[in-house]
Amino acid sequence: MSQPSLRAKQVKLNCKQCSEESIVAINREGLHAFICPYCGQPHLLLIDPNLGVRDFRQVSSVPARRPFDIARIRVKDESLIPVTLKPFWEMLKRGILPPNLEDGLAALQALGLLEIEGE
Amino acid sequence: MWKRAREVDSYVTWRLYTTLKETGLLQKLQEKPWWEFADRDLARWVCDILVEKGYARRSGDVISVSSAPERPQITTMDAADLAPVVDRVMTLLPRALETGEKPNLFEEKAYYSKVAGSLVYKAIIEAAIEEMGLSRLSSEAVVADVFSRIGTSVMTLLEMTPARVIAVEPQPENIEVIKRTVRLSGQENRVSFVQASPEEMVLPEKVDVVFMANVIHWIMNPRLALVRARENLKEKGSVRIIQQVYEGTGLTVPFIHYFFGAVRPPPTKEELIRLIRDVNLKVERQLGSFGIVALRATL
Ligand SMILES: [Zn+2]
Repeated sequence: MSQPSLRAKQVKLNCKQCSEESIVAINREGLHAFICPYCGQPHLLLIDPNLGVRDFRQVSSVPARRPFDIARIRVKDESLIPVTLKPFWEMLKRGILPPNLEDGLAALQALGLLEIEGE
Repeated sequence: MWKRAREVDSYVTWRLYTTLKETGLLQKLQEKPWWEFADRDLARWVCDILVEKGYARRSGDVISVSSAPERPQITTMDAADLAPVVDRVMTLLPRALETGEKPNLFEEKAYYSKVAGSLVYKAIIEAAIEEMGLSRLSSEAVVADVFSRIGTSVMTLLEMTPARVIAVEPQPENIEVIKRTVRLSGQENRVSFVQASPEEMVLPEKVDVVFMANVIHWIMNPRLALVRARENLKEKGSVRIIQQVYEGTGLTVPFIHYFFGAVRPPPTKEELIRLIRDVNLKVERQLGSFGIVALRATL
């Protein structure tokens, strides 16, 4: 993962559930959680190194609680990821969101490996 | 697989030695017999590692240290990943030896996940599935994976065999991890769950294979677990056991387990076979080297 960037970018996100528009500030690449402040719908978004939105999708839950803002999701210590979940995490790092993404994140969270920045 | 296991083995030995040396325990082990330590099992185990790896000689019930291991080269990812876990374990060793307080890092979930989800462990299971010919099972076959932990064995069985799998695991948090991991792989229709300890398991159906990977030294009553395995077998079914035993890498790698909830050192090969025969199971085929035994037992 890269160093914190001094750049920041305003991004418009249209909720996949209620279509309301939110503007969030992005300054890091990687996986982020976003909860729509209007309807509470959780989403995941993947930010590329140029701070572009690579993927944005609604999910049934995210490992973050705070609406209005986005929270970056990272793994505390990648060396501790079990072999069963390593391919999944490698895919995420390459910018690919697999179909059952939420299950992979839930497994990592249940193992105490996920860290939510800004919570 | 052997290269990784050997590197972990050397790292545990070196770390153990340096920890004992730095805390003055190396001296104590040379003065006081192992059975005078508060945790006797652990003290004996420590002595056995130093003796078996060639850094000490036994003289009666004490040891006499002859040389110091060199810091091992780590070249494999898995050994590199496990090193911090070994370091963590060794911080608890002096207290455990001297007070007899049984350490349990199980609550440190992230470390536990590495122990139960290491590449070394997966490689051992893969080799055993291969050697035991389990990939030739039919898609109708049912395998009960006993004491699944976080699902390394379940996922490996799903990858390498066409069988259905019943995961037997006592901890609900672990079951949640396995469920999610199975769903991530899209194979939820091949797996069902029984939340029970190996000693208490009652399966919803009789199975073709009861698969027990490194269960014996983790549970209070291994004999009872084998009785349950037997009860849940189809007439032509078999129990397949992969077990680290008290020799070679089986001395050092399971040393880590002791700090994560394993209740004792692994059995010797002879103890394991006696245990199986004691519940009227026939040992039909056994393979193994370097501290790991894979065997098949039938009714
Ligand atoms: Zn909304």
